Parts: sequence; structure tokens; C-alpha cells
Amino acid sequence: MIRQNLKLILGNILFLGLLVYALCLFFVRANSFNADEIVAKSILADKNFSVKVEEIISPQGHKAWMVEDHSLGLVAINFYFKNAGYAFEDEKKRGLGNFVSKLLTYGAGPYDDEKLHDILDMNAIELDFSVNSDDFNVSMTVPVKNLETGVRLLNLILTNPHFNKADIEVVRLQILEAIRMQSEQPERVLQQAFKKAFYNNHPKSRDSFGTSQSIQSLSQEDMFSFIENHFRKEDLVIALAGDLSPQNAADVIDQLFKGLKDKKNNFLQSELQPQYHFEKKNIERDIPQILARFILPGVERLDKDFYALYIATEIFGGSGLTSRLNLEAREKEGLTYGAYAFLNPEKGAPRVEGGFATSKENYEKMEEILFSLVSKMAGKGVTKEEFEAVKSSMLTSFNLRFKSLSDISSMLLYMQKEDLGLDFLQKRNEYVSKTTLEDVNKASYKFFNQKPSLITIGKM
Amino acid sequence: MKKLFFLVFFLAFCLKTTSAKVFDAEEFYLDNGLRIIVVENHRAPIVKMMLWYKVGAMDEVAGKSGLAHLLEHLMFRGTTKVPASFFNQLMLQNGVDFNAFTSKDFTVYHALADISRLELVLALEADRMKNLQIDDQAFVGEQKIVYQERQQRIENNPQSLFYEEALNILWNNTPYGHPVAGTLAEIEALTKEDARLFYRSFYHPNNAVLVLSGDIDVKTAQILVEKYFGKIKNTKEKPVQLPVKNKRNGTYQITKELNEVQSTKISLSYIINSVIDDERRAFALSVFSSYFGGSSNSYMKRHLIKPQKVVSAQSSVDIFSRFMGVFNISVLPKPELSDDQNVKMLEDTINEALQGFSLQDLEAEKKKMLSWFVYTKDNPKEAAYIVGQMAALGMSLEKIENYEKLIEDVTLDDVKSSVENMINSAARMIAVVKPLQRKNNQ
Repeated sequence: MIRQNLKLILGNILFLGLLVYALCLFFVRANSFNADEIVAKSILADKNFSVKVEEIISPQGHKAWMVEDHSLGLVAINFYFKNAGYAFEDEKKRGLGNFVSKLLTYGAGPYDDEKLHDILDMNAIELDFSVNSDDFNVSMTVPVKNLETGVRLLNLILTNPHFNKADIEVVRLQILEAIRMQSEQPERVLQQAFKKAFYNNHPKSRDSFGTSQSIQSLSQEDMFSFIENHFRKEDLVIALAGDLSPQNAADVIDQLFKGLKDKKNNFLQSELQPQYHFEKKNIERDIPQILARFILPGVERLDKDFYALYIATEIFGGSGLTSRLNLEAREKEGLTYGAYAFLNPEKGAPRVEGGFATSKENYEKMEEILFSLVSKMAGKGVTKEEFEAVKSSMLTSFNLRFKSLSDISSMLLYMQKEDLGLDFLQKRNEYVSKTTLEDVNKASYKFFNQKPSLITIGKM
Repeated sequence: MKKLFFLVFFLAFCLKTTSAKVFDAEEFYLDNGLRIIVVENHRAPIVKMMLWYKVGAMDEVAGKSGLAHLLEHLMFRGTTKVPASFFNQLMLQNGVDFNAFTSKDFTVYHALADISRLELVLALEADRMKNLQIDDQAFVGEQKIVYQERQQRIENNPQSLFYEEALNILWNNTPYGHPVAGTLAEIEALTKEDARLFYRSFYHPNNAVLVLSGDIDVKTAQILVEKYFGKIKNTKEKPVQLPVKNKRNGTYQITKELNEVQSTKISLSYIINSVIDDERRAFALSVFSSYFGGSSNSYMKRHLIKPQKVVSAQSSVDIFSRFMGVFNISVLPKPELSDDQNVKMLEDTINEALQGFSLQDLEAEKKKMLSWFVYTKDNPKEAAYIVGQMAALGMSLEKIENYEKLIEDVTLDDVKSSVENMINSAARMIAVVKPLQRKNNQ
């Protein structure tokens, strides 16, 4: 009897247990969020998307890389003149390249400033000129129906700009004002100070705007000699994307650069001697926060450790909120709106560069976190989970780089500048996949194995 | 719902024959009121997702500035199903480029993703529309973070702080009268309960517009959106938004000398009607702004910059707002004139520009503005932004597709009367910021 009761009770308990278990299972399943399953079962599968990059050589012998895209009837053209950047400027002519870049649309060939802008606006021709430390960059985006007009105008601008004296004065005033306003922004002041400390006295440490003195002294003659010196066929690197065939593209290029001089100039740059270790320095300024920049050594783009260090740096301070820096300093401690680090593979000065901004009272703690996370990278490396997450991020985000025609075209230019190869877009995910956890940890030990150099602005 | 879906399709089809559409978008609604707009672009297998909630800083009650923005931050801190920072972790693993922003009018969550990850993005977005969990630690943490953000974005730069103050004065006693970033004291006083209440009041399918722009068709979009957002309950009524308080009159002036400011800047702002209140005038003012100081051959460039009366000058309009819009002129003056003389010169210049504005000028300016529409579909991010903003203001898809026509239809009379009306009777703000001591050698 007792035994029977016991049996019954046990049976009931067993039954109840099972029921509870089943309910739990149901509840958990209904309420859990299974991301992997959503992706795996999604009706939107991976698309085998591949973009073919072609190299074309025009009848006049210009080389260009291009991608055909007939989806929207638009064309993007990007090119630069090598070694025409501000680091190549004469000491006394600092800011000349930037000055020229602002003046080029003030009239060319038969068109004065007003007429030229009218034609550009009516035909939706987007033109942009800019300098960085290395090169002089030009980009044009244009509806294919107006391509001929765009090419003709840009050719006139490159070969026959007006540089009227009155316009030079208008732009001179604006640049002088812009130089003055630089110092209003703490980030700009910090950026300049960082460049000074890192590049030492190399011309790369200069400001692209030049100085008040140099800008005041630049003349019309200087403008003309800039284009004479730098707008040369052999110094060109060219990329195109959009609604045109390789044959069209070749013709377009020849028309675009018709009349440019052949002979190459030799503008050489003194060798870089970057300072990876400099004394910590603060620029005094009465603002509520302290803004910081830090660096560690890095690798160049074609270095065998590039992908490994790239992944390590992403884990350490990548753009998302889940980097170690952001998890520790932002999410856990609320010390900062954001901290970041990225691998800058600049030739001759490769580095891991980063920064943050935090209130005065948080600064010490923030710096402590930075140093301890750096030494943790060197001591323990990264975990398998972190490694897999960043790798998967790099693979699945690959296609995002094709969002606009000018993105595509400027990427083709970057591929040429960095010698990534015509088949880079086909190979890139392979490069990422091949990188192992060991590679990443080796790079992490090697490059994070030191205190970062720091420069700050604020009231210490 | 299917019927409605069909009807919208049918209407869209009819419209196609009458005039060119800017985006060739399609739209549908879920039963719970969520409005979805799809802009196809098949260049690459990627999609931009934007979820626009019709709530922003203007919906904060007195003393709660910064709440809309703080809640935006909390939306990344976990739900009952996807706790803690798993949201961010999943977005990372799946290569999604994501973020959010809060303005006076809207709170917007957006992501650019590979097409194979869109379903996950939608699942996560739907989850945090209804399951947000605000725990103490995350709340206190984000309170600190938004305070750091405020310092970084605004307080480190005296000029930004100055403009914030100027705008507070201009919009005083209106829904726009406090900063989106919140004030320090008010951010500190916010509570978890405030955030919860705000979330419950405004985060609903019928108070949102979802835009999908990229490699997706409307049928697929419908299946996916229904699957994840379809289950979210509708609130019976639209959430109560704040009543519009008194509109502004008169001239407000603020001048400050600030340390670290190196050059004088003058900003002249007029309060104008937004597209919701007065579409004709809003678009007329946007054409005039382009003519006066927006396009590369602007009136100010020809009459003020090139004759070297000022160093630089631009004008712009903001007409896509829920409350009121702004017509702004920003100038870097030359030191020879006093502030008053500069302001007088600007006012005279607007008058002269308006007097001389001819039918020919109007047609040329419209043509220029319209020529750029050819790029609206080049980047799925931009298309999503433009369409999303207009849709979140409540504009019909027909109107959005007719964007070009709204500009084409502006008449000379529209421009003359709306600009005259603006200079004669709109509330305005003259804000001047200058260096602490003008150095002699400058």
C-alpha cells in the first residue's frame, strides 16, 4: 500500500518534473533569440557578389583601373597626381597646393567663374580638388549624358585655369581666416601637435593650409608654376567606375588629360623618421575635458602581419562598442563617450593610432585603463571568441564598400596607391580567412609590448 | 492588411503614368500601423535600414531635457531576449555598420548590412521596439556617457556652446527651447522611470516609419517585416505629443566675446514655417536660399564675397521639421565694419536680392536644384535618409515621389511673398560671437 502510494507519488513527481521541463523548454525556446538560426534560415541568403576590376590602357598610354556599373547612368572618375601633396612643398610656399585646390573652379578656358559654375550646376557635375601630405586629388561625378561636358570642363581646368588676381585675394582671405579658426577647435590643435611630435620636423608634420606668412606671400605666378610642375601625365594614377565601357573609358581619359605635359618631375621627400616614443605632453587649454591621442608602432599595408595586427587592433579599440577599450572605459565605467584605435599603415610611418576624450576628473583612471589594456594585449593576447567575432565581421561587411560609385572609384585608386593588385577584391576575404589566432596573438605580443606615447589637450 | 497593401500598390501604379518619380519607392502598412517604405537599388547586395521614431527632444516635458537622447543610448543596452551588450556583439559578428541619432524631431536607428544579414537586423530592431529592459547599472552608466558626450560635442568648443545658448533663446518657451543633448543638471536628475515611461509612450509601430533601401524588393520586405514586426501590438491611439506652445515674435540678439574664439562670426536666423504647415512657402524659401547663399554662384558670393565685403557667407534652410523651420545666414565678416553695420548690410542685401529676383533667376535656380536629383539613388544611405525624414513627417509617398515637382511648382510670387513675409514679420535671432580681445595685428 505504502509502496504503491510511493510509486504513485514518485510517478506524479516524475510526470510533474517532465511537464515543468517541457514547459521550460517551450518557454526558453519561445523567448530566446537565436541569431545564428535566423541568419542560417533567412530567406535572404548570401549572394555570390563579385566585382571585376579591369585595367585599361588608353591610346595615349594612360593606365587606369575601372569597374563597369550600368545600374544608374552615372560615372565617377578619381585620380591623383603623385608627390604633389603638401609634404613636397617648398618651405616658403607652404599651403600652395591647398590654395590651388580652392581656386581651380574660378574660371578656365573661355569661361569665367560664374559661367563655369553655371555649367557645372546645370549639368550636375560634381568636382572636388584636395591635397593630402602625399598627393593632389581630383574627383568628378557626372551623369553619363553629361560626361562629355564634364570631361571638357575638367580638361580646361587642368590645362587652362584663370587664377585671376582678384579671385586669388578672395580665396587668400578665406584661407587666412580658416588658419585662424583652426585653433578654435581642440581636436585640430591636438592633431597638429600630434603630427609635430610624431613626424618630428619632417614636412609631413605641416598643416595643409600653410601658415599666415606663407599664404600672404603666395602669388599668381606660384599658382601657375604649381600646375606646371605637378599636373604631369606620368604622375597620374587613375580610376573610374560607372556607366561606360572600357573603350569609352579609354577615350574619356585621353580627352581628360589632353594637353598635359609629359616630362616627369622628380619631387623627392626626405626620409621619414617617425618618433614612436615621445615624452607625454599636454597642451594647456581651459576646457571641461581632456582629449588624448596615443600611438604604438604598426605595420605597412603589404606587410605579412598586416591582417593579424589589423584584427588585434580591432579587438583592442575597433569602431564598435564591443572593443575592449569601449567595453571597459565606456560601457563598464562610463568614463568616456568613446575611445578608439586603428591601424594606420602609412608608408614609412606605420602605426596603431588611437584617442579618447574624458572629463578632467576621469583622466587618470582612463589612462590607467588604456595602459592596462595595452599590456594585456601584449601579455595574454586575444581570445578565440574575440578573434572569430572580428574575423566574421570583416568577412560579412565586405560588400558594404560598394555603396556608391564614388566609393568604388576611390577604392580603385587606393588599391593602386597601396599596390594591392588588380585581383584584390577577389582575394581579400581569402587574406582575412587565412589569418590565424596564432598570427593575431604574435602580432599582439609584438606591437602592444610597450607603453603607448601620449599627447593631450586640456587643463591638467 | 493585404487589401490595403494592394490599394497602395494600385495607387502607386496609377501615379507612375502621370509624372516621373524621384525614388520609385513602394510602401505598405502593417495592421499595427507601422509604415514601411522600400527603395530598390541592386548595385550591390547590401541594404540600408532606417527606423524613424516620431519622437525627439521636442517631446520632452519641462525639466527632462536629454531624455529622448538618453533613451536612444539605452536602446543598445539590452532587452528581455537579447540582454546586456549582445545586441552590439551580434551586429559586430555580422558585419553590420550601425548607429543611431536623436534630433529635436526624431530618434532614428540605422544599419547598413549585407543582404544576408538584413533578416537578423530586422529581428533585433523589432525585438527592441517592444522588449527593452532598463537595468540600474546600464541606466547610470549611460547617464554618465551622455554627459561625456555633451562635454565632448558641445562644451569643449565655446562656439558650439554659444550657438546652443542662442538657439535656446530663439526658441524659448517652445518645444525646441532646450538642447537635444540635455543640460547637465537635468541629465543627472533623470530616472529610470522617466526613460521607461518615455519608451512606453513613444516606441510603437504606429509612431514609426521603417525604410529599407537597397537590394530588396517589396514582396520580400513584406514577408520579413510582417514576420518580426507584425506581432508587436498597436497602441489604440497615437501617442499624445506635446501641444504646440506660443509661436515666436520679434528680434532676439546675443553677442559674446569668448576666449579661444579667433574670428568674428555672425549668424542671422529667421523662424519659418516647415513643410507641414506651409508647403508652398517652405519650398519657395528653399529655392530662395539656394539662390541667395546656397549654390556656387549665389547672390552673396557675387555681391558680398567677390567684392570683398565679407570673407565668406552661406545661407541654408531647414524645412523638414515637426514644429517650425529655420532660414539661416552665416557670415564671416571683415573687421572694418561694426556688428551693427554688418547686420544692416546683410538685411539690405536680402532686400536687394529679393527686389532684383526675376523669373529668369527663378527658373535657372530651380533647374540647378533639380539637376542634382540624378544622384538621389546613387547611395542607398542617402535615399533612406531623404525618404525616411519626409515620411516621418507624415508626408504621403505621392508627395515624396513628387519632390521635384514641389520645387518645379514654386512661382515668382511664392518667393516674393514668402521672403517678404519672413523679413517683415518672422521672429529672428542675431547671434554674434567674437574673440575676447581683438588683436591689433589682425
